Amino acid sequence: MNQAGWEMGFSYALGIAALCAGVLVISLRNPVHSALALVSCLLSVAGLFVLLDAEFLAGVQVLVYVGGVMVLFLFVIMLVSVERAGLATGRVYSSQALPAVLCVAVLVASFEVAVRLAGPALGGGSPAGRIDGGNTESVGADLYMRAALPFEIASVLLLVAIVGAVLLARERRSEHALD
Amino acid sequence: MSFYVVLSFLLFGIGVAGVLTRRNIIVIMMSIELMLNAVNVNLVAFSHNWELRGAIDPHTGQVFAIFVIVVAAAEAAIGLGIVVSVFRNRETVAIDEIDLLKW
Repeated sequence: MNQAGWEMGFSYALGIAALCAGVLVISLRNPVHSALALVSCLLSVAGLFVLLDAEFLAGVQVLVYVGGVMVLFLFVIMLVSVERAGLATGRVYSSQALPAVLCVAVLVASFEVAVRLAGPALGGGSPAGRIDGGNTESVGADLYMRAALPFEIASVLLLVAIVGAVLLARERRSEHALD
Repeated sequence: MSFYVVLSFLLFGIGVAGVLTRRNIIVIMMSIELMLNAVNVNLVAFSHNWELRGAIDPHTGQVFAIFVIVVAAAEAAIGLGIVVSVFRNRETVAIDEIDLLKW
């Protein structure tokens, strides 16, 4: 492999941490604990991004996901109190175990097929060498020069999402008060 | 490289299992975030591989990942708005109790 020993060790450690946190996300009863496990999973993935020479993306991951999306999740969890929703004592899982097992089995099979098809392209022997220089400039150049139109569409999408979220979460009473 | 592909696959599988088995709709949305992150790991790993191989545009995968993050943020905002609205109307966030559209 091209990566030095300690880098390999770090990526294995971060990957296993991400997997364990992912299992905790779907197995813990309290959604606040699930959210905290998801935060640690996202942070581990950000560390993997750093190891993959994607520092800008790691920063975006921490700022947007951990700083923004997860705070939104925690706000909604606090708003939707677990006790009132009756989930503190009830079943954690819906009765969908069989479809879940089937879906994951199909995924495993298709992954096998894909890896076999891609075989030589995936083979570990990538050329050696680290990438010099920061990657923020080059990612930014790619983003603004080659993906300018998708970038603008993404900003419109975010605007629509903001307006939609405000409309969806607004209390109906305030509507009457405005009338 | 293959380590990242397997890791991304396992994370995606965990996300699928969470979406299919959990009852709490908020945890289901967290599992969706897990799946989107698995895809991001894959995109960045392939982008890194391209860069090492000296491709002309090695950062395409990272640009894709940025757009995935944008869409995930929008999806979380809308989805959580729907969750709040449903909770206000039905007093529940368990998916098997939200069955108004079933007959």
